[in-house]
Amino acid sequence: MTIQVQVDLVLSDFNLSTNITLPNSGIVGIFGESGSGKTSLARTIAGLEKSATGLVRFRETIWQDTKQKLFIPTYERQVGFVFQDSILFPHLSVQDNLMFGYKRRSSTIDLVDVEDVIELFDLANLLNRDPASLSGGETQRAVIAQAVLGQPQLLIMDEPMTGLDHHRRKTAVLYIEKLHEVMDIPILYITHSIRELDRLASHLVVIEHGSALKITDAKNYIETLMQENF
Amino acid sequence: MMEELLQEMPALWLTIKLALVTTMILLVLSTPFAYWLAHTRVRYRPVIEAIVALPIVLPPTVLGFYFLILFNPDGLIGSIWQTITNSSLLFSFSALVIVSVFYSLPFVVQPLQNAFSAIGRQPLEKAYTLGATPVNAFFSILLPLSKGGYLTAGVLGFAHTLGEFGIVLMVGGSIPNETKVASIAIYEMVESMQYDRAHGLSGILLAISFFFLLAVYFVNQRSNKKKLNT
Repeated sequence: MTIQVQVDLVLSDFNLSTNITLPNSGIVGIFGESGSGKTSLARTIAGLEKSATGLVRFRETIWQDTKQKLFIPTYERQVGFVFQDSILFPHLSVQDNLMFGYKRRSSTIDLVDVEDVIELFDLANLLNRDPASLSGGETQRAVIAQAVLGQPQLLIMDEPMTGLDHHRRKTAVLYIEKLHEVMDIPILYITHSIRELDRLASHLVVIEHGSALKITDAKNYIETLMQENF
Repeated sequence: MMEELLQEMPALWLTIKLALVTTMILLVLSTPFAYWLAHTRVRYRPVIEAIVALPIVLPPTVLGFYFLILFNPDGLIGSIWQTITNSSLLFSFSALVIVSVFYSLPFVVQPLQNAFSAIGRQPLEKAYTLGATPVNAFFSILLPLSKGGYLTAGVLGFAHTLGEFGIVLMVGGSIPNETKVASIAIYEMVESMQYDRAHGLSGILLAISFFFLLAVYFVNQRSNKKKLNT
C-alpha cells in the first residue's frame, strides 16, 4: 500500500529520472532547490506531464504504465493539486469554486463533509464573495479547501505558502496540520523551506538535479539541515 | 428604394451566409489549435505561427492562385472532391468556404491564442484535478474565461470574410446565388457603370462592418474597465 513513482521525463531545459516509493500516509515533504524537479515530479504523479514515461502506481491502482500503454488521465486519478500561486476560478463565486470538484466527484465517493471543511478553513463568511475580493490568506485557505473538497485520495501541495507573509504562513501551517481531522489521505508537500518541513513533514524526499532520494530518518536529516543553515 | 435594395439581397445573403459558415467552422477548428499554440513547448512553433499569419501579408490573388490549382478537377483536392461528390469543387460555394477558412484563419486563431496564453494552463489543469473531463473543463472554465477572445475572434473572422475579394474571384468566379458575393457584385457594378447600385451595396457592407467592429471595441473597453476595477 504505497505510492510508487518510477518515471523519466525529458523537458527542454531539464530531465527528471526517478525511482522512489512514497509512504501512503502522513505528510511527505518533497524538498529541493528551485529547478531541481520537485514540481515536475508532482505533475507527473498527477498525470499533468503527458510526455513522462514509466510507472506510477497509487496503492493497487496503476495510474501510468508506459509498457502497457496505460495512462489514466488526471481527472480520473483523484489527485488534489494545490498549485503554486494558485487562485480561485475568477468567474465563479467562492462557493461555486469550493463545490467545483465536490459536485463532480460526490456521486462516486464521499470522503469529506462540506460543512466540516468550510468550518476548518474558516470560509463560512466568504462563500458569496467574488474571488477577486479575497485577501491573500483567504484565497490560500479557499484554494486548499477547494482541492480537499474535490475528494482526492492523494493531495499534492506545491509550495502553498509562496506569496504569504510570515504571519499568514504560520496560520496556514495550522490549517494544514488540522487537515487530517477532515480527511485521512497522504499529502505530498513540496517546499524549499526547511522550517515548513520541520513543522509538517513526517517523511522526506530530497530532489537534486532531477533525481529523487528517499530519506528514511526525516527528523535527523532536517536537524542536520537546520544546523547547517542557521 | 426598397425595391432597389431587394435586388441586392442574393449577393448580400450569400456574403453573410459565407461569413457565418466560415466563422463557425473557424471557431471550432481554431479552439484546439489555438490552445495548442498557446501552450506548446515545441521548437517549431514559430514556423506554424508564421504559416497561420501568411494570409495577412500574402496578396489574396496568390493564395487564390494556389487554391485554383489545388481545386482544379485534375488538382490534388479537386480530383478527390470530384470522386466523392461527383461535382466540381471549383466555382462552388464549398470552394469559397474552404478558401475563406484559410484566408480568415489568423483573425480567429490569434485572438484565441492570446486569450488562452493570458489564462495560462493552470485553470484547466486545476479543473482536471477536480474531476472535470476535458470537454467539461472547456465549457465550465476555458470558454467563460476567454469569452472576450471568442467575441473578438468571431467578429474579426466574420468581418474579414465579408471583405474577401481577390481570393473569391480566383476560385469562385461570379455565379449568382452560388459564388457571387457582395464584393464581387460591387466590382461588376462599377465595371458596368451602375454607380447607384454600387453605392447601395457598398453602404450596406460599410455599415455592417462598422457595426461589428464597434461592438468588439465596446465590449473590450467594458471588460478592460472591469479588470481595472477589481
